[in-house]
Amino acid sequence: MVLSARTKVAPMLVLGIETSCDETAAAIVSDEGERIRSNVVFSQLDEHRPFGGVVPEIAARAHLDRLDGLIEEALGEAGVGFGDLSAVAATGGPGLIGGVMVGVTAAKAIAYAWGLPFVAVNHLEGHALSPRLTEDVAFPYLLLLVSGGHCQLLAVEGPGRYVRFGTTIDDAAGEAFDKGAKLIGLGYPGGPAIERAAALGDAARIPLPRPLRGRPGCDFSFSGLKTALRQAASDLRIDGMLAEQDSADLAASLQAAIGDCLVDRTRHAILRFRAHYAEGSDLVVAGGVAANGALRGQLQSLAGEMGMRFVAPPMALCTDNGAMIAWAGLERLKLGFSDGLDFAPRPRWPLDPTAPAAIGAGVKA
Amino acid sequence: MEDLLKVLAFDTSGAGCSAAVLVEGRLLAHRAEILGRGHAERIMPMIREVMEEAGVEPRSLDLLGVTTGPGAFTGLRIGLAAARGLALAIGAPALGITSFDALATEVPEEARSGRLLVVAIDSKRDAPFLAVYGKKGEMTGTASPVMPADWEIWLPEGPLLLVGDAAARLAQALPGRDILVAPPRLPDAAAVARLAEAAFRRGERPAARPLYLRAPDTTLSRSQP
Repeated sequence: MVLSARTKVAPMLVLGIETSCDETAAAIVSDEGERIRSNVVFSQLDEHRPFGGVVPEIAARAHLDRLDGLIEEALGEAGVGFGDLSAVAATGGPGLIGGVMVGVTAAKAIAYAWGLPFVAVNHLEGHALSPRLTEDVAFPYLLLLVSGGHCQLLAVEGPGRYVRFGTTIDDAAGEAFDKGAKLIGLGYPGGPAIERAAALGDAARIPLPRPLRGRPGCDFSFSGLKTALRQAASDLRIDGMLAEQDSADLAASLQAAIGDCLVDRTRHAILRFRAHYAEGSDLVVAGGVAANGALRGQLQSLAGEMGMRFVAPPMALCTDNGAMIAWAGLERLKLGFSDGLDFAPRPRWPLDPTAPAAIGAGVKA
Repeated sequence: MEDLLKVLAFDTSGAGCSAAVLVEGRLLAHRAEILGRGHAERIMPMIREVMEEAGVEPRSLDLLGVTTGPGAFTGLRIGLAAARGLALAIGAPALGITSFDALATEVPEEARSGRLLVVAIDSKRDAPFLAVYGKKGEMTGTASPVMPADWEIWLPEGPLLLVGDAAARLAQALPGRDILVAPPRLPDAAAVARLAEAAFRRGERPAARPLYLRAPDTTLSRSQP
């Protein structure tokens, strides 16, 4: 058979499923025209709020309850049927394994029923490639991945090809926000709560440490910051209560300290990226913490100062979603990668398997 | 094979992993393995194996059957996610069968010889899940997790026949009672397939929703208002 230049190749359509933390999500993404055909997210915030954090068993139960309905909704909104799909992608890890298993198993079942390839996507790769979903970002680029579960600086050379420059050695940045908000009594989730309170506070009032700032390398540490914040908060409490202004000042000081740490370590990573790669001048920030406007501003100025282009996905694509999983699946599929029905969900799945594990960070690095 | 009722059923609710294809009441393919763990890796390949052996195309299935528990939470969810994913993809209903019914249905009438049937399922905690079946093979009362101290009070009087993977534990703990322990220990896909088909033919559509019988282990946040 001779393929003429006019042979029309149908656009690829991939269903993406995300169930690794506390968002149940499904999306349809294409490589042509409008890329995001649908992107449906059910946030389990209300289910977890009474517990002040994500409860794995509650998350897993909610994923199973909601997932099939969300997939149906994603297909409906995109106006496509299973028969139009090129593949089914699902987060295969890292994350809360009970939820990952629900998403992976549903994805395998759909792929099997329609004879489609199944693609297991590394959740972190979903975030890492998400800027390419909405903008023209070429490899290689420098990525700051900041979420509730991760805090890493990586050179992204292509799908499946990452060089880790640095990672948190204890808490993730998003964890510092969540734990900080809990200490100040601002509730859950901590990121948006801190950002709101910080807008009314004085960031210079409470002296908090900037762990590892000025030290060589690109690693992060946030657990000492949490300890200092706890001390500062207890010094300000009267009869166990914090005044509203004190809460705001604590929040602003915490946000500034986290921001300064991120900027300092990212500056080192930019220098290192330049030294390693002749091409590439994009600094990409992704992950839930990238939704924080103040931090975005700080990183944007850093990028400008260092001659890098600053790229951040739209807010809705920073937090967990199915579109980024579908997109990463699509990119992998184009390179010929897919997975068997015997794929085993991976609670720990580093992007750069050659980088040493940071013991204090558990599955986070 | 066009007009025949084609059923695929599977179980991942406990230590076992099984899948079966039933066509018009005939068991055409069946696999059962003791896994302990690893259901997420094994179940879909096992489903493909029995489907190929039975010569049934996935989208020609009329019905899916799956165990709803009680059982290991993670395993239950794997089976239910597969069933609901398949049901959505092929447009056929997925019917949920309890582990109690799947175990009870496999005890032949003659084996009971006048005894009341008690299904006892391990919960990985002190309290196994118990359910009593009356003479007509129907569950009587409410299935519950029961602490060892309450077994004596909870169990009905008279001679009993116990099945399930916690049956031996109960029998050992109650030497004064007239208790016989019989197979099966674990739910099996073939039984689930038969029960799903029977329910379907009766016009019943029991939902493929998990029967956890136990709330998640959690503590409320102290710093919440």
